[in-house]
Amino acid sequence: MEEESLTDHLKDRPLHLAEAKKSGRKIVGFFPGNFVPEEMIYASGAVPLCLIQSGFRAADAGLAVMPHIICPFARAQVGERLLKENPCYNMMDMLVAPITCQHMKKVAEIWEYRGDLEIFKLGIPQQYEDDFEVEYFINGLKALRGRLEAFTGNKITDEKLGKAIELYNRMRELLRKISLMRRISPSPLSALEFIKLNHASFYADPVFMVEVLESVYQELRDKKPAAESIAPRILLTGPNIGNGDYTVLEIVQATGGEIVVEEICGGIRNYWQSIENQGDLLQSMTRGYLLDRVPCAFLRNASKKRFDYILQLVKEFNVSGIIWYELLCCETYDAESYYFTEKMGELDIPVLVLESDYSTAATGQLKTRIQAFIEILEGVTE
Amino acid sequence: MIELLKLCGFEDNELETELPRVEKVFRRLGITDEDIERGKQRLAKYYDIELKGLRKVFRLIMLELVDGLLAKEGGKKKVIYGFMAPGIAILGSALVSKSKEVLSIHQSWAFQVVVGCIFDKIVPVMEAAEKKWLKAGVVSHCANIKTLVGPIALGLFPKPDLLVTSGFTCEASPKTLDLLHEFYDIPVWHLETNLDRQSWEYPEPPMRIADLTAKSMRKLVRRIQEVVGFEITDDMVREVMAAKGKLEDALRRVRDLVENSDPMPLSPSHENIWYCLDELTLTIDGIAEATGAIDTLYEELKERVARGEGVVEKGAPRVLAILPGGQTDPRMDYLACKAGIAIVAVDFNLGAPFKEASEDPYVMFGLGSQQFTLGLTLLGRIPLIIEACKNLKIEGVLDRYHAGCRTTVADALIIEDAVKKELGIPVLVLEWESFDPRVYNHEQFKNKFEVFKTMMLGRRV
Amino acid sequence: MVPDYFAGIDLGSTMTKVVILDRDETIRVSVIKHTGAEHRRLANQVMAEALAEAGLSFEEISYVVATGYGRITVPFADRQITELTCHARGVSHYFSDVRLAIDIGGQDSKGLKIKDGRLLDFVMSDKCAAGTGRFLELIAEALEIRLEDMGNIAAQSTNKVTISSTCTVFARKEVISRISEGASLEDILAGIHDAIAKRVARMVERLKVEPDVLFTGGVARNIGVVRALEKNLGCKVLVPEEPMLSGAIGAALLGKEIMLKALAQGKPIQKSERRLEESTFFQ
Repeated sequence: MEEESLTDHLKDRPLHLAEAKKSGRKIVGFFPGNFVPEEMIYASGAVPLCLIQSGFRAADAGLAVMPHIICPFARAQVGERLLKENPCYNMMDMLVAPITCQHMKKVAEIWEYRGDLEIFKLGIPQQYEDDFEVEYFINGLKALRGRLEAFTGNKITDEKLGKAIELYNRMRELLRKISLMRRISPSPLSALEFIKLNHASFYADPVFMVEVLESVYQELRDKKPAAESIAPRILLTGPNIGNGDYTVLEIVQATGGEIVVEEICGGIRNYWQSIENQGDLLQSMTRGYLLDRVPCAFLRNASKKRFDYILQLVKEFNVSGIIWYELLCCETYDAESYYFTEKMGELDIPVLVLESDYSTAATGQLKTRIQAFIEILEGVTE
Repeated sequence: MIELLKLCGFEDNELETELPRVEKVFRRLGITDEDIERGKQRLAKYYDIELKGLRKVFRLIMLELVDGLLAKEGGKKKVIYGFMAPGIAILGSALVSKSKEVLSIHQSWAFQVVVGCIFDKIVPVMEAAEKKWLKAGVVSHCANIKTLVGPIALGLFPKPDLLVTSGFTCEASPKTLDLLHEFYDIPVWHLETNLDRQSWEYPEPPMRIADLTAKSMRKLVRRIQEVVGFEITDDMVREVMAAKGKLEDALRRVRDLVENSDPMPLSPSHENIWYCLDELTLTIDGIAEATGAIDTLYEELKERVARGEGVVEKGAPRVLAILPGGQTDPRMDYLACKAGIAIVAVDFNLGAPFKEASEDPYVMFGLGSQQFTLGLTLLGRIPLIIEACKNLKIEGVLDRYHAGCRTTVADALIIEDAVKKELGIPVLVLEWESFDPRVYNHEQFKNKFEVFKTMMLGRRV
Repeated sequence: MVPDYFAGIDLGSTMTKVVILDRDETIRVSVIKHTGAEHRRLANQVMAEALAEAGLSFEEISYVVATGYGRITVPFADRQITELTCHARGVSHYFSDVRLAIDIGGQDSKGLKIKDGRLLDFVMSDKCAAGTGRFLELIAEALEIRLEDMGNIAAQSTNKVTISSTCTVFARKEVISRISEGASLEDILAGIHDAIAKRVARMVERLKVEPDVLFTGGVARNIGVVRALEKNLGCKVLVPEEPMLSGAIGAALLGKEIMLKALAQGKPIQKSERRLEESTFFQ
């Protein structure tokens, strides 16, 4: 029931954005990775919009500008601006681009070069153990605040920022609570449902989204537990799951596997940290958005940290196998997948590595690999 | 073997000490007598090895490789490697100038020139790296990184006390070091900058980024000091930078001569040798020696120019190449010459000027590294390339990009677009892998060069 | 009903294989046919042929497992299982100590890590022709020789030519260049076999190469590739007598296991309402 009104809301979102623009509000897009504090954009009075659209057509269109060695998600971002068919991408007034991996850095640079959009780059320090490195990020946040204030004409007071943090903290808390319900078997919602909810949180109005999440959470708590499930419990990890990039999730579900938790850097809203809503708010955001998180693979010395973290998730969620889902050309995650599979192999935890360039032609091959993996996990004659 | 060493500029009086060391290293690398014959032929074919100055440069490169592989046997107590770390050559030079017990190498460059360019034996190294995690194929990992991981996997490089890289040009190298640390227990370190230069931070390089770079370098220096046990002072660094400045001036003179002479007196395959030379970890005296070699070369080239000698015909169409040619394989640049194309300059040598200055040598480094062609964002890089094309009267751009390098790949089509639009000259876009000789496709490249030349000549009225 | 016969049908992209086992796991009959373009329509025909040869009716088959590329569209199958799992089971039947199975088929190649008949891990290459039977086919075409003669010709090589192109299309060009330069046919073929073996070896090395190493699939009949694989892996490579049937055999064996287990547990047997007829839908 709540899902229907969410669907309608998402369908009508371009209209909302158009109306917002007419009333003088700015639309500020930002790239995924969970580095850009959405609260700050919200507190400036602008509409925050995380750009996570995936899709073969857009990725293909991006080839006109970036060769095939750039990852399909990055190419899709370029493609969306070229195709000009996506109203959300069309209506953007400003882009906040976290400088993360080489692929997304280039997308920001290319848009900047084309010169038809206001762009602010937020530099992510690749290591952040030293004060000067952390300070670099905080200075970036300060500059972002100044730029947003100038662009929107609204001051971002600590009070407004505090209210925004409260709202997004609640959103993250609800996503966390819902996600944690999947520790029991069978989980009350599928990975596909959870990820779609998570993706929706990037497009929808945040106040409305929190309402939706409240009612979904309630619904799930009241739901009668289903019968025991023998479906193998799977953890999904990788660099990025964009909006619409659901083939792997669908095939896993259809083949009888159950993804119970994800560790994805780009495209999934990080819900594990809450931003401390007191004291120096920029410091709080730095902790929540950078320091306290498990690092993405493109950051320094990340491999072992990420491995240990995922191992923890495996234990907590009682996972029997891991699917490592990579976008083709992602060199950092690909290098790490070797380390990861070696180490997991030592612990006898099965890992399936899949690659995608969003092309639908590969579906048959995906089905075979995923099914064989599930056959390994469940012992095919059970 | 002696002939080969003589070709590489070794003097008679040093053969006694150097010959056994070189032989030892060649044995370790699996370089046979057959390979040595082939090496001599390749040196003669692809390089102007009759130039004395050039031979001196090859000598320095060969010595760096030999010293590197025999580090532990040579009584070096501490070994520091750099890989894709701008600035490490400077710190390294400061180290080796101060102490004979420390060896610092900006790894892989010398290895690539000797094992790849001279002996054509880099493929087994590639394959060793591919057995690990560095895939080959349509979507491949960077072959430059393969020349680091391969030899480590094969046990060719002695284990360093510190391996340093940077995030200046990619994430692949730092990621690689992370894994090398996990798999081989090598202590690693990352030097950082940040690539978030804003559109309004032009033309001057922003101090905030230079500052970060400088602090990161000082952090690295503190770590290196821990390893070697002595201090690297700012003055030591300034001294090295001054010496390197002279080397860079000498190279600039050579490049100016090449750019402004018709016929072009020197093949572009030597560009790669200059990059290698610039990244060798030489003592202050060694840098002076290198500068001397380039000065000798300059005089020899002037004589060539006076005689009207060139490696392509007079009036050959003038081309700017994007990115250096084959680091492990000189064939493409050689082919370009044979096809009658004069690659007079490479964009890799371009840098935008800046006015900002600082007493702090690391801040100066942090400013300068942002103005180098790859340090600039597109907003800076494109005008730099266009400007260079105008100044050098370029008739065509060879827009080559490494299939394994995410950093340089994304600019290729933007460069093509901009050059065609703003200058109206032909652009040849070429996907290849300049660190992997297996990617070289003679027929295809030859045809493309011929067409490219025809297009350029056709535009002359 | 006492289960008597079990059938496995392996619908590959190039060849369709059917095996019927009797209850003590000996092969009653096996059929290998070209899949052709209409493969989804012909599964029942190949099955019918096998039944005829065995002198059995379809109803006498207790359980049918379909595997392979076209497994999903076999309407008369009781269950479909991936060829990876089926191959692992099939090769273990004859070689109980198998730890690594390499299968090079018409359009893909696979590596299977196996222990005690169970699949533990796998690698697959199915995105391009290099490293598959198709690669050899194209080269045979270019050189105007028969695929089945390649192995014997290459055995006479004394000075193998190195083929460096990793792409099939470029390798073909390279081969033609070498021929025109005067290289001998046997030396080129030795190089070709080395190229395919190298590529496959690199792929399977991820699974850790441990004996016994098995080699199955159509390409396993080429002795040149077998030897090249041994060289590239650094160990002995065993080839079953009928290298193309391990998928279908494994499928039938798994079918028997499933059926017996279900019977023992008193659970309803997963038997679809099945008749031996043509597939009426395409996926």
